[in-house]
Amino acid sequence: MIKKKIIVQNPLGLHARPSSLLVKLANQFRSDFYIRKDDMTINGKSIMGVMMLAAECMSEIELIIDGVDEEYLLQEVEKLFAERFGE
Amino acid sequence: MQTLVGIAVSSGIGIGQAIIVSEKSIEIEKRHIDQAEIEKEQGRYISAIEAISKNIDEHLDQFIKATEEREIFEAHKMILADPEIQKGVFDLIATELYNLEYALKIYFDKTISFFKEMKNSFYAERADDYQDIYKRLINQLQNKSSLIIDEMDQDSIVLMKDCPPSMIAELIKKKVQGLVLVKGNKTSHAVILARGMSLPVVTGVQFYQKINNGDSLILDAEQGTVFVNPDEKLLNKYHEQKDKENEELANLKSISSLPTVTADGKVIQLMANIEMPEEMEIVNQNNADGIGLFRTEFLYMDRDTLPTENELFEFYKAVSEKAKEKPVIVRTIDVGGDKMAKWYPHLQEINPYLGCRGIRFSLTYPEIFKTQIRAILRAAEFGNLQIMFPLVSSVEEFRKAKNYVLECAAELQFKQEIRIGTMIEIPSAALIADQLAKESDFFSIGTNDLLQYTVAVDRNNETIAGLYNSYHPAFLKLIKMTAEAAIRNNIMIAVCGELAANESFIGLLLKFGVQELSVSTHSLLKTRRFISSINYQKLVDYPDVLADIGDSGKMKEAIDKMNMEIIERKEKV
Repeated sequence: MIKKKIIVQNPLGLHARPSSLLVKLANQFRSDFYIRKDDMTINGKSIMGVMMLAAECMSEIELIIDGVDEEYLLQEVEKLFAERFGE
Repeated sequence: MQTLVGIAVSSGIGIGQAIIVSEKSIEIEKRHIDQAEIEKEQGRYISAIEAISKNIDEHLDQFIKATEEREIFEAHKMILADPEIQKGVFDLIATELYNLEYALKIYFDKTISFFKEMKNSFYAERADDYQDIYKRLINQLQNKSSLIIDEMDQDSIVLMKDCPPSMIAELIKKKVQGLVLVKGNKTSHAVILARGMSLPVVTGVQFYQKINNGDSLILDAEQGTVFVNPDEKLLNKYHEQKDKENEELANLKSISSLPTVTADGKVIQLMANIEMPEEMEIVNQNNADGIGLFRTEFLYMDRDTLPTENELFEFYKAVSEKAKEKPVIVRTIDVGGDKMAKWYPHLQEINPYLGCRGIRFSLTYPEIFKTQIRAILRAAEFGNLQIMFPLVSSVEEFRKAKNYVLECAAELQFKQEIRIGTMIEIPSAALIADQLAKESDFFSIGTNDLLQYTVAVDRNNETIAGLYNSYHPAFLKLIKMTAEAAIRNNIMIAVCGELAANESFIGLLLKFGVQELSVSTHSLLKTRRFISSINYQKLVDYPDVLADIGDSGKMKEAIDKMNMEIIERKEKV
């Protein structure tokens, strides 16, 4: 299991497009993927969950990944955030 | 017996039993299931989300819509596939032993209120997505409409508030007797389709609480009346009328695959007026020679935004392909006058019929016009599309409009020939027909507007509606002048207004030299049958009926007399 804290940096936060990109990406992997923000933890493979986080720009979230391809998934997710979801 | 009155929008007679398609209200039944049913309820959820996703895919394939709309559908698909939602719903079924519908209600109510309470308005608005998905799921599960369609048969008269266009084909398959609606009018999508398929329809009938399922009904879609539980006498009368109507339909059907020729063998081009691709089926079944008037306002009306080029392209392409090699005359957008689109900056015109409508609108808003022209040109590669400009009043307007077409063709590197014609519906255009003919590839006369502008009568004004008289010699003279100018200049001359399907005038139009008659889909066969009774040679040899007549009454007498001479009354076997 890997845990990693990350700051949301794209201007509008995890709104519709970034959320759907993130969920689509996560669903290509076998590992469990959770995201925690404050005291809320949601399933990162669920669009509803990600939207419920309402993670705005500059908020801190924690990625919790557990499974056979956890490192690869983390790498891809970090890439997506680093590229600010192409925005 | 009770009589309800509405508006007849698709003629015919229907006799049968009422089937009411009730409005879908979301009534959720709460039920506790057995342990043994858990898997079945969960399975129903999987089937429902699969069915809806498939439906969304089909919708996305069919219409390449604006990206914004696409994104909404994509978002819905993701929500349907959401593993958390499935888990939440499955848990409620397995632990609380709720039936699926009730589990969905509990789950979605909670989710929707969670979003609604969020401070950031962007997230709060997501509640709408979940509300939509919830409704779709419930509709899918209750499957009311398809269940009720199963109950329909050839003795059914269907009653509903509002009919989706997709349902018309189902009703035709079930051979129902007719349709009664609370909403809708002559120009509704569903009504247009119903008319083409000869399904009797009456709209504007407030039938709730007055008609019950299974009531015996007579639907008179000639008069626009619905008789509830009629007595035997009335039933017999209508059965007689219905039998005659059926005989007539069978008779007409027998000529559906024939060409359109006069009694003495002169071939006449019989074309159809349409508004949407779905009508092409009737056009092809009835062996029309093409589309003489493809009205394009449909995609512009009843919406808040303009259609995109791709949306228009797909729509035109569908018609183009279905017409195969037959010609399709696409009339460019004709909004304004009585046809106002919602997205149009609603300028208050004191006199809209003399205002910015037809080609004037297109020349005022060239970007809107060019988007349409590009879509037509792109679709023209899939068939034989031609372009026609409405409401042209001068040669300059025609030239300007044509230049836009040439400009778009150059931009698209469109290499094919495309024929460009003028719709003649203003007296000024008829009076300069010779000059317009030198620059146009064809003419098509719009008789409704031409008459209105010739006699200066708004035909919707009941006080003076009597003056809107097709026998007015000035109006007929303008048609004759236009036809003669077309023939002199060697271009095709068509008539696409209501006069083209009026049996009192068909002979006269042909005598003027009109080569193509374009009529609504439901008039195709009647017009063909009438043409087959005309002796064309006698018509050509008949003296000029317009000479020296100044009043409409005399004109009518002269035309009736001519019709007596040129029509061969052969007994139909």
